Amino acid sequence: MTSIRASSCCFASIISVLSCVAHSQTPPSGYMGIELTKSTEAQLFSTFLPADKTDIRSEVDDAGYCYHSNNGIYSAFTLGPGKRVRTIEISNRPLAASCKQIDAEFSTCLKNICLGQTRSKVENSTGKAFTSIDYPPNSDLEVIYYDYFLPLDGSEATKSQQDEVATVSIRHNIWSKFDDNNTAYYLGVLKEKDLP
Amino acid sequence: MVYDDFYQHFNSDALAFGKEQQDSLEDLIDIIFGKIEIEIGGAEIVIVGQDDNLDEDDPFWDDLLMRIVLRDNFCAISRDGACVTVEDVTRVDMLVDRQLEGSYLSGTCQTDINFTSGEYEVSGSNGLSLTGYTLERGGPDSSIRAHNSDKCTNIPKRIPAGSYGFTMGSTNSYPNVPIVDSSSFSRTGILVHNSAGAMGTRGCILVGKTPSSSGTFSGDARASSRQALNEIRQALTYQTNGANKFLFQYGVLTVENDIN
Repeated sequence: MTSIRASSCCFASIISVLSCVAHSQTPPSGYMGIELTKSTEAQLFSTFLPADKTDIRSEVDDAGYCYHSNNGIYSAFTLGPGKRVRTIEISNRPLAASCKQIDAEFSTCLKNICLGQTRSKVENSTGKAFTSIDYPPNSDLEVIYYDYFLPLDGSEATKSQQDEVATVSIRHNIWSKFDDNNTAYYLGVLKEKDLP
Repeated sequence: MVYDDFYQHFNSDALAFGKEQQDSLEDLIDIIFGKIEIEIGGAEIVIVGQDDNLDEDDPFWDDLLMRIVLRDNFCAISRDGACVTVEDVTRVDMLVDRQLEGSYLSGTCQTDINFTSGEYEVSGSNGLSLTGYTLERGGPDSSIRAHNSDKCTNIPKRIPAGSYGFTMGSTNSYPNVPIVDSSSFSRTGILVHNSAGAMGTRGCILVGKTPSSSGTFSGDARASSRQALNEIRQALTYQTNGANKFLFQYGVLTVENDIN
């Protein structure tokens, strides 16, 4: 079988992937006192309440902690290395089969992007456009990919002396799902540091 | 895939006509000749001679039409002067040869992390050949789902050796990476992606351009891994209408345990 392609077809995507984001608007990294890559499981439990680990239903494909607040907002958190918070999700709809009821009102926003905002509003806030994902198939999830470097903080520099690097690569994505009116009913954020 | 490129450069009427009358290739040539006044064709006899028993719905005919229309003339008649090369993009193989196991002190985890080091070779039916090094978590192979919160443990996370289909696509974490069909071992989200060291995966296959026998890619580990993944991205996808698409009809990932 044969096919044909333009020889210049691939370069744009590679450039976009390679580029380090010089974002004037820093992507959201926290939620009600919980900060991605910094807050621990213990801090999460003291800020909200201890909860049982459960499968998170969204395309996060991980186990974590889900809460449901008085104002109807669901929030979910998963953990990464060191039991530090890796992802935060908020939604008007359940994020897991079992979500711990919390006697509090949860925020509907991750920094300046909020549930109920239109796609264009969120994209204007972030300065980037959402793209659909291919996996899992038939997912409604859309993603804004951030990929950038930051200087190592003090503890990281100590731990990484053998690696002789002064910066850390950051993968920091925003997730959203939009309803038929193109308003966000789900928002999430992932932040990971690529340290060995 | 073919039509995406075609519509970017040619009158869609010609292609629609050809699809409706697959046995009227000469008419298609005449139509296009009439519209753009350039003589085309020349490849149809050789191609049909190889595959004349194909079903009418076989994608081969789409490719055939493209070849007839574009053969030797694309540069002359395309709108923007772009040129194409004819490639056999039926299949791409990625072979991962696991060669040794070890452990290294992860600065992030502050504990020893078991790893599996290996080499990869990507070969395509179009002549593509890429090589590099791999990192996975330590053995034994596991069909059990692993969580990100377990990254600093040595609970087995490495996927079972075997052959699996793969395609290219975007996930919630990574844009435009190989996605492995893991349905045969009941795990999800198995990708090929970049990371500096073995701690950066919970079952996915990490690629790099420098040796991985220490548990991290030697030299600038992040740059090594990014370079390898970007090579794979560039070779296995093409971009149309702003979206990345898998260039090949199918991909096969073969993971072999050849651990000393």
